[in-house]
Amino acid sequence: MPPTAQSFNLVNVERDDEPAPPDATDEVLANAPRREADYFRVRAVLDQAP
Amino acid sequence: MTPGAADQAPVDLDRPAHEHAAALRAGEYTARALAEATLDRVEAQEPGLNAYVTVTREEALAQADAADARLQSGDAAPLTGIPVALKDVLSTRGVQTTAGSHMLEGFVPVIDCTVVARLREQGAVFVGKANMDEFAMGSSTEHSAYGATRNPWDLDRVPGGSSGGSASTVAAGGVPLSLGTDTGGSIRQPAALTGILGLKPTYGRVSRYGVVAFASSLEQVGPFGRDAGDVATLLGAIAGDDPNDSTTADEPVPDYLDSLEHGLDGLRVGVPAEAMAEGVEDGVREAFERAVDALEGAGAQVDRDVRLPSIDVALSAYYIIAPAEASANLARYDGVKYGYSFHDGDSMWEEMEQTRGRGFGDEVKRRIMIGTYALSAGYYDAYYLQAQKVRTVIRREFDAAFADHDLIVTPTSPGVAFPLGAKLDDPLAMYLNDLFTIPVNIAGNPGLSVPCGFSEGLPVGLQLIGAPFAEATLLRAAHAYAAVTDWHERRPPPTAMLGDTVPNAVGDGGAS
Repeated sequence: MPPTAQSFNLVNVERDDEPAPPDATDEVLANAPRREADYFRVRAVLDQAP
Repeated sequence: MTPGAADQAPVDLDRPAHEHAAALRAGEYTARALAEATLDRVEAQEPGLNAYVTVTREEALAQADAADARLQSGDAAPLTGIPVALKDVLSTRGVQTTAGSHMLEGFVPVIDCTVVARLREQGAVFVGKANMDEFAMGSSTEHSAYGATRNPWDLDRVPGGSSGGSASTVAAGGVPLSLGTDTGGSIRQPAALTGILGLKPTYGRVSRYGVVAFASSLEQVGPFGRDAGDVATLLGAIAGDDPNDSTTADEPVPDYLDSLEHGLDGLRVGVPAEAMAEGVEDGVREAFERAVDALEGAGAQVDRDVRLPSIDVALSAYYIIAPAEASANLARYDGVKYGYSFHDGDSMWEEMEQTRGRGFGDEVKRRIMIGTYALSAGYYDAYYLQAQKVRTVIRREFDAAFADHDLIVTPTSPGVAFPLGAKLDDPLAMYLNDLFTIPVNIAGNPGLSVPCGFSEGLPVGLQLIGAPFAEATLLRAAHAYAAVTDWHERRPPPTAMLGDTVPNAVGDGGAS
């Protein structure tokens, strides 16, 4: 019995590669818990001495 | 000329949307007056019903004024000026979208999801964001970080879920139309439990772009309403191909109102023996049997020998597939880009653990754990792959049934609305609510719940299931059924809808 991943088995759906304006940086970063300049601020990912 | 306030007819909020649309065009009252009356009733029913996470009065009134200008200029669309409630899983630009979760408290999307964008183009009036089970996981709307929603037929009972707020506000006469999402029954089951219509479209019929994701291969956005014509209009407004959602079907959208009056004559209706499964309440069974008789009396050819022998394992397959997809979709909530974020940890890992541990509720955590386990190395074949094979079996059984039937009918839910708290400690009992709706998501077909009677004074729903993209057939059958019965006209007792006198006791601190 073959598996079904999705009801109607669509494959290789592509859309035209048309440039569109990006979301506004300030709007997107307004939801960021921690921001630094135009970046999302995160804790250091690798362990290091404090 | 728009009449002045003094000349306007009083607004009857119990009218269906198409009557409001006609009244707006005739100048009986303005979209502004309709919006104000709607907001007044909605706000009077809060927080008792607790159908909303956010009521957007100012935005709604601005939209209503824009709708009035458009009505005057003569280029109004079918939903111009019509009040609509939106499940809080649908992204709304500039308006908080929580998905019923503490994790997304205060999150303000920078986009409209496609369905909201399409309604905005029509000039619909968004009254607010409707309450829901957290991330659409649940069948009672008790799993909301913003408290449980109540059923207007009995405020001590659940409205069903997960789109319980969207269903409850329509049933209580707050708005004529609303949108929900349905991953395993989350539109049809609350429609049944609150005595209104609710439609899950065919997978791919409606765009999921901008909808907070739970189980991507199963869910669809769909309409709630009080009659088939309204549901048809709202479905027509949101349906169709979307370049932003590659799973939408390149399938033309018919005018769902065109075939509404075609009646039941000659429609082949199948009643599976499995619809009478153990666990169906007597009152639900009786209402269902009377509904089948009514369909037959109105001209349908009823076949009581259809078999869907594997739908009893659909529930098991669903509780592998849906949590597996949820565990992947919800991995994005890491406290970095948006949403709740815990900042007092000693390391990145501790902060992420605390963010997810505190941000998600218990039912969401349960499903993330089940899904993560089912997808883990060594278990993938035994669980996820096996469930996807079951999916093929169920899909083939539906295809075989629809080879010589136009509709399959079952009860929407095995029982009527249950008391708040009754199933919170028993996830399996809660999951069994969706026994008849889940197979339809597994197969991808469309399903519509219509009111078909009462048991113990509470509404019962009839589920009409169609072939892929046969939503028009479901709506036509619902319209014909409503012509020979009056269940869809029954309204909850007004005394039960004086929501502001009722304390909202359940859900706030996580009911046990």
